[in-house]
Amino acid sequence: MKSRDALLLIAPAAGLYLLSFAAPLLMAGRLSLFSISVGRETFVGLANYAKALADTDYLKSFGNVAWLVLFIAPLAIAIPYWMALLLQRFGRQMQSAGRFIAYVPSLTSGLIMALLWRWLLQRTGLVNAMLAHVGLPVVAWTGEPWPARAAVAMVTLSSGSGMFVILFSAVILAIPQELRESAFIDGATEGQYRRLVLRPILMPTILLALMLTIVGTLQSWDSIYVLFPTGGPKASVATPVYDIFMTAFMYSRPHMGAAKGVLALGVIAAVVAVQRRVEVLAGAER
Amino acid sequence: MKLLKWPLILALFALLLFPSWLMVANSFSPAMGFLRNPPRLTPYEWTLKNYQRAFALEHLSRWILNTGALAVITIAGGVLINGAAGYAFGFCKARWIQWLFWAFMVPIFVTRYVLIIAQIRIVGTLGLDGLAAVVSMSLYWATGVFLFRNYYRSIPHEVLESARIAGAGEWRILLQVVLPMSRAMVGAAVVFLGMRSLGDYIWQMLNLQAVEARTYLVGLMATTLDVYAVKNIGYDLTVGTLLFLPYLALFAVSSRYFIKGLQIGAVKG
Repeated sequence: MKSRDALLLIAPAAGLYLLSFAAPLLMAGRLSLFSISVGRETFVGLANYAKALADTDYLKSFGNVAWLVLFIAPLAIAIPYWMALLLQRFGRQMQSAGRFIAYVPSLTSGLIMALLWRWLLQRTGLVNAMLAHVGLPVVAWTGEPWPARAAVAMVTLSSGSGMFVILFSAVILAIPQELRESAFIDGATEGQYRRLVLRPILMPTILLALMLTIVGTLQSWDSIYVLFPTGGPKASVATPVYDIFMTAFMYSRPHMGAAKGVLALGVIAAVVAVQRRVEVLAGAER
Repeated sequence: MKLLKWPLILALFALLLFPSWLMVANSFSPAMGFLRNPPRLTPYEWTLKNYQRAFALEHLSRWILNTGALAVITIAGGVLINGAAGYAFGFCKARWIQWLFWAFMVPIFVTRYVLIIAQIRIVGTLGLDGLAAVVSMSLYWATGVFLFRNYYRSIPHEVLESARIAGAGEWRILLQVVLPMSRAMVGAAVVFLGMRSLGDYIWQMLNLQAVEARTYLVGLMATTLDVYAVKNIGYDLTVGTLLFLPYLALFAVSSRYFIKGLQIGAVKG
């Protein structure tokens, strides 16, 4: 294909890319250097950035998201991983039924899932009733920092990782049958096959899932919006993105929000860069 | 292990479906049911009251129409525009086109909420509102361009070369040969784009303030998030169940293509 023809095909997408991504990004960068004073936009240089870096709630939000990832990622990846391994022992129809069921929670609106959990997590709610039933103390899920973080992690996990089940299954299905057979002919046990053959093959997909989980958690909005609209007890739940949302839309400070946003983008870029690096190292090991 | 696989998979299914089941079952519960102690997994008594309240909403049919229009425009436009770009990126080997491709992937890593502040201003400056505002900012789909490009890299080029020799223009080739040939990928794109147009709450909420302009999602959501209304969890869950239905339909109709499309993206990507 000639470049000229290619450009013709890319042109509409390029136009929309400029309109909905490039222009807003540049504009956010510009906004972050301005501020409203006496009803007029005035240039303030990096003052918004200085203020953002001195905003303890904003800085804390990066720690919050780190904790959330630590709570969420192991289960969000392990459950789909085991489910994909388990599903491959079943027939075709059961496999597609399993993938469908795994996807159902992801089809439910995140906002409504959060409303459901708000009810389940009440002081007299179902979760506490179950805890009391087995003799454990009742927890104030929305009143204390740590239970609040656990609550958000639960809501996020219950929205499911059906996407990962499909991703893992796809990779497992693409493994040639001969590889499996030859492993067993060479005397590998089921456990050895899983540890020495399957896991290395799935490693890039696991890392991809990890990155998607981190990026997804950084962006999580709806569960926090419903459960902790003001950022949770002692600002213990708000993620950077939620903090930006509060700044720009609840407290109507778009310039400050833009500055916080640009800073958050820097952090995300760093996370992605580190992940790429880890991926390269993991690839070199094999 | 052979014997254990059934109990294990059934336990996993139960765990995964538990929250969705709670939502659907309790959407049939009257408001009083939620005040009882201890709480139960099923309603104390079954009632259709919540559904009657939802169906009695004055603008419900209008909201459904709006959502239908939005979905059709997003899906058709999104498949064409992102499919065309993906096709070009998959086939054109020129160095700088490939660089352009990576620039097109950057939005995947940029959070929406940073852009939304500026997007609102741009939409305002251009004088776009309602449906046009919603569509203009959600048609470009970086992940879609990525998936389409991977897909076209994986199919033999000769098939398309023969069509090109006949002297057809690139857009005609795309419409008459390329897209009809890539049914699995188009199917996956339809589901993804459909889900995007059904679920993009915050952007739709910010742009569709007028009652008649709202979508199914924004309209129904407003009735549960209304701070002046009497809190009724049963009704909230009814709204949840109603919002869940279009997704279920979309996914049930095209899950086959959807999974195939994802497999292509996962394995070849």
